[in-house]
Amino acid sequence: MREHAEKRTGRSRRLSDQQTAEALDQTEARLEAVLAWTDTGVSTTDADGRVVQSNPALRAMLGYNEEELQGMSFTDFTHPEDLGVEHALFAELMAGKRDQYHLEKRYIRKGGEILWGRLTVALVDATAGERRLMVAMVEDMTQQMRADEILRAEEQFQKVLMQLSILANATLDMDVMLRQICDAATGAFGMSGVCIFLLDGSAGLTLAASTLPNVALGSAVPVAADALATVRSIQQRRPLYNNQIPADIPDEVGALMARAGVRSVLAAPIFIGDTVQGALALVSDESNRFTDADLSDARQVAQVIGGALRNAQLYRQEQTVAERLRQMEQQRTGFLRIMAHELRTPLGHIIGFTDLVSAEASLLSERSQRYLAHAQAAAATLQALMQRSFDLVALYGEEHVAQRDQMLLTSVVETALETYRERILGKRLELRYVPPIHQVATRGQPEQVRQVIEILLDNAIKFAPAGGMVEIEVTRVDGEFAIAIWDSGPAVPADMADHIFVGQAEDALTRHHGGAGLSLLMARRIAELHGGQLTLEPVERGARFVLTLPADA
Amino acid sequence: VPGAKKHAEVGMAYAILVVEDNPLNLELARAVLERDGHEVLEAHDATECMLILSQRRPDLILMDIQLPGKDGLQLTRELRDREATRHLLIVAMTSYAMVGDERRALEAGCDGYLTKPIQTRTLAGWAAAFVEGHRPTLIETAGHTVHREQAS
Repeated sequence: MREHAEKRTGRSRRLSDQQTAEALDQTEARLEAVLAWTDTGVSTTDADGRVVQSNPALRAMLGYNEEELQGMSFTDFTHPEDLGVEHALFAELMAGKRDQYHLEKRYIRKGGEILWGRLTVALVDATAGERRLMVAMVEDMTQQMRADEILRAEEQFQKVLMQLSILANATLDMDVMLRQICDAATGAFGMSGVCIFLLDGSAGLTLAASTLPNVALGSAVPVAADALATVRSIQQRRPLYNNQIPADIPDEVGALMARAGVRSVLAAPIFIGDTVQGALALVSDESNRFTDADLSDARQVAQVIGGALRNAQLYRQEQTVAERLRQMEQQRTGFLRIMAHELRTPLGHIIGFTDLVSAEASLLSERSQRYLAHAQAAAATLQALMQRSFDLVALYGEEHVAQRDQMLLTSVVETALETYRERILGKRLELRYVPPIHQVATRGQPEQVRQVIEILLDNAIKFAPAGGMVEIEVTRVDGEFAIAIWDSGPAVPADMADHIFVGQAEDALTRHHGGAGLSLLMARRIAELHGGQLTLEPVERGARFVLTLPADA
Repeated sequence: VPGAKKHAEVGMAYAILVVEDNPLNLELARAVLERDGHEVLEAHDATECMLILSQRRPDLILMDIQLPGKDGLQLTRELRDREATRHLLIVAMTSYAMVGDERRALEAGCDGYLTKPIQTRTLAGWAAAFVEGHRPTLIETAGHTVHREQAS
């Protein structure tokens, strides 16, 4: 550069007067200083594209010294993929079709590394013919390009992670979910395979899902020395990678890897909460496939899998609990059935034989006759209770009422009222009956619905004090019929409302005795089988039971 | 027959075979039926039943369907398959708890069923009425297919 500047200085002297020459000298000296210190790579190039002069910045960028660079063509250090474009631009410059061109291109440094540069090439002296020079200025954009690339890659990764999250939560079937994640991750990360291992009880690994060919799922992976280190690392919650898997590990894992042509493996632990559940393994047939940056990516994918595993486990637990409850319910029903059946035979004997004795009661003393009557009454009560249990068990065995007949609710209610007329009169109760304004026809089993109303009426009459009041109201609200039965007896405490139907209320309530629990349970079951409800509504005084039935049942 | 006079006032006395393994049930049935003047034949299982039927032809069989060994349904089927016993009147004694027993009893060829436990006040009268209800049909058609349909 200096040498060239001196040449130019000499020529200038010949062309200009002394003053001009001095001014030029000063300018060139300043230019030289700028070129020596600037970050921009600068060169002058001849008509063939060969470097005539270069500044330190350019030499640093390309990694050549001054002598090496001198005489090199731009084609020598331009990335082959960018060369075509530049040839065309250079030709246009030479042909006089343009004064300058700009290009973002990749340089190949002396060591083979890639450098991104933003290049500007301009003609210095258009009139110089074959001897004309070009000035090329290069800004190193590698840092910027790398940041962009990383940003793009990160965006891409987040997109993939999102897709994996969606897949992970699309199904609660664990096997399906893990398989889908493996499939998606294999494609998205350009892997030869993705595997998910789960820790089994003995702290070994079981292959739960895989996209590697010829791999049997569910098989416990034999823990070889290498794999043991992996397992240990996973249990210590560290992801790790191995970029140089040898082709001849002498165990099953090795054979498996050899078959799949595995060269690099990355494993990341999968957690639920704080507990390691297994590992995600990314597998590549390239050596040196992974970098530290991949560890964080894999960790995030493993996190997604952990979350989904947790959901699947919760779901599975819920299913198990539901199944166990169902079995318990079945056992309970079966037990009740058998017990009732077993009790029935001896009870039949008690009733039958006492009956035979009572036919010959004249042979007994008066006291014995009275005792016999007590025994018979008790046996009859027991039989009635058992009958009710039987009915209840049968009702719980059904899903819904088998047959639905047309029924007029008012006539069902009025028939039931008729049955209890004597008892109502006997207790001097005031009966208020509020029939509906409109017709209340629905479908169901009239006998069963009448049974519910009778149970509620019986209950109301039993607990209303003598001279008290019983009220029945039939209404239609929003596609439902409601039959409310209220009595002026003692109030049911609010916290008892939930228990009153399960036969426990008698203990806590003075107002309930004598099998009312079983009856109410049965009444509620009948309501349910009709697609309705039986509830105890909170009222200030007395008790108000409301039976609702769907209007178009 | 001891005690036959009581029933004789209102109706006929019949020979009734009770096939039942529970001795108390058997005793109860015997007491109730004999009180009304019926003759009671007892069998505790299928073998005893066949033995009695080789000598007697009862007007009615009350058949417990839960017998040890060969059960009452199987026994009924075999009786229906034999010419000698095909036309016998058989009533199954079923348990309330066993859903579908009634249907199975009729399918096996029983003419009717009653639910245990034995109703001491009504059993004897019911049995007599059942026999009388089927007698005309038996005479007229001499085929049990018809009275089986009537029974069900």
